[in-house]
Amino acid sequence: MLTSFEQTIIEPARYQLETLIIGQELLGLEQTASTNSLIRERAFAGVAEGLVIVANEQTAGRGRRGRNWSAPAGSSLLLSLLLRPTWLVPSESFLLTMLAAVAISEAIERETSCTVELKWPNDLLINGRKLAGILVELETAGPERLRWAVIGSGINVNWQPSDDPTINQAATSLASECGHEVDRAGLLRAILHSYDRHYLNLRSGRREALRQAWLDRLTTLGKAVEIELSTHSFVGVAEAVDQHGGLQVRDNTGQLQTVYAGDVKVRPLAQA
Amino acid sequence: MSEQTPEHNLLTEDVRELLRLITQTDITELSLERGDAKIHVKRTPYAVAAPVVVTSGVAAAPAAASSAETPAASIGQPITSPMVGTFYASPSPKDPAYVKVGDEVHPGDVIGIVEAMKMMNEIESEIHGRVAVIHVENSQPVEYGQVLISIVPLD
Repeated sequence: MLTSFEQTIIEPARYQLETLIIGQELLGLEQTASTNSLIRERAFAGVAEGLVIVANEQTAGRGRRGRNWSAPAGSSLLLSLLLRPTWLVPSESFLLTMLAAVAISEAIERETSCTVELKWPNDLLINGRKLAGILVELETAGPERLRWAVIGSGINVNWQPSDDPTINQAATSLASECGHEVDRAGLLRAILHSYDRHYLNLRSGRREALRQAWLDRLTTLGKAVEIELSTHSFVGVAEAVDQHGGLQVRDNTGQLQTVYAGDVKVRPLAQA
Repeated sequence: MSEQTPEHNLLTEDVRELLRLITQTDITELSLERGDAKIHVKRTPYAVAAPVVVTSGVAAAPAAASSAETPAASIGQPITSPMVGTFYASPSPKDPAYVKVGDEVHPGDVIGIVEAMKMMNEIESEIHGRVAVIHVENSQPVEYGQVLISIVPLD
């Protein structure tokens, strides 16, 4: 017996799904702790790449460094996918962050009237507010071996994060920004297609095209930013992205600092 | 182990503690004497294969052989960072560290995380061994190839 979530979201998404890798195995769950955690278990167990798990509700959705990601049941697209890009070395894995950000952005634009931009490195924004978060978890063995990657994403679809005082008020949803409810099944199918196309392109070596597609959406460059590292914070202007995807920020002393990890807040430009 | 003298203890727990402390400083060489026991620690940058000489007085001599199995005796294989990023010793700020000096690790055990571009890269041990030195601090930026920890092989 199919659950209501499988009937209304998973089965319609599977209909006419034409992918080679992504979503060849597609599981839908009414509720789970965390789709990333489930995929990790499958990854350790040796499951083939392309597995996608979608949940109607997460009870312990995770963000970066132990932060939680919460959304009401039925309001979002919460999905994780398993990749085994063993043709990348770990130092090239930033391409996976770019892949996820570009694939989901393009799928959203295909299904809605909204324009998606990126805040470094992979926050999806509409009208400057956060619509979706992506968490990539990798397992590597030495500098040469990337065993697997789990790409998890939470996309706010049909709810108003601003109505929930416990949610960061910079958060938004597709319904809030695009002005209409969005069919989650159609969006899921579009995301799977988009991931599949970009993943195959990346696998065939088209890295520069992916990087360019990511850069084209990145609106952080040229902006005044505040960088919160785990040890300290600093402010500056985001100038460029280095070959590893790191954000190069000119701080107030004129030094160019490259940021690979940390939170980036875009600040209103200082008055001239 | 029940018959240990204080000198024996210096050669086991104190060595472990000393190694932990020294990796958090810029000290490259240190000598310490207590009773009949004497320890001399010297390290190269990142303390890779740092030679550690443990000598002791007559009373402690029988234990010196067994204490050679402590992490101090031979600082083994380095685990390096596979990417530029930030090292985290624990899964999240509220969790304990994955490993500490003296812990036994098995192949596949996670010893830390390197974050880059919102990717959490779990670093595994590829060998069975004991953590001898942790070269990096929690939240420290790391370079590609930088030694994160050293593991003395067991088996």
